[in-house]
Amino acid sequence: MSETLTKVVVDCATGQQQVLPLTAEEIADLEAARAQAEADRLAAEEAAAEAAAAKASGIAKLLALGLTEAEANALVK
Amino acid sequence: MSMTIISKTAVTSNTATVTLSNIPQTYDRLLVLCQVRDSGAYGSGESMIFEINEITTSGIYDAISLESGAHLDPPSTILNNVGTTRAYCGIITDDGQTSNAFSNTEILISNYSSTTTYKTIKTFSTVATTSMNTYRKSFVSTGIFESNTAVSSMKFSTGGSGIKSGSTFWIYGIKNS
Repeated sequence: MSETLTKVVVDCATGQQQVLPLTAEEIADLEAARAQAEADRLAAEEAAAEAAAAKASGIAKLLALGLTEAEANALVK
Repeated sequence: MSMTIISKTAVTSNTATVTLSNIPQTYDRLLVLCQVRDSGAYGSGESMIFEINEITTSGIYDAISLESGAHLDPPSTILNNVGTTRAYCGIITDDGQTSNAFSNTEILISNYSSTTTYKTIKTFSTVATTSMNTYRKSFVSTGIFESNTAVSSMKFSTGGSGIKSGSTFWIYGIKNS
């Protein structure tokens, strides 16, 4: 049997806290949010990895041209 | 400046979302502290997501997000959450990581009760488990809630299985004077 998905709702004015089952619409909405969040995160991590690889490649090419490591790092900082 | 706790919510069983509703409108700023862990055993951390006023049209704009950590070196500069109803506001641990390690996220909203201006949002989030090489990550962002409507509720969820029991949310009201 699958676990019933719940939500916690807190009324900040009264302090009352309720635990309620999610509606079918809320479940669909939540799944869409999760998929989007994960896609955003993976895209950000992929972009960061690509930027790091490009930077390393650039430094290597500058070193091959005769720049010192300090000079190359300063240029691509 | 004075700060007053509005509510503290400790999650006592795994849940999909936590909504802080009916937020009093008597302060100048809101500070939300989140100590959260995802209930799924992924081992790679998960996203933390928040929504304001459960809006259904695009309204949250991140101007800039900075993220760094063991899996992101050097630090990245990214644009995201452009015109979304939900914002990625932090990174959290999950059940595949060090036991009982909860992430810490702080969210600050200025002018939240204004009905004439947009609101600025800053989020700060860091995950650290017991090994620096196993998993660590930091995330900061600043952005805008493009709405003249006062912030009256905030809903939190995760990109994984849900909010684990033991997670806790504190919301504080800050007065400028």
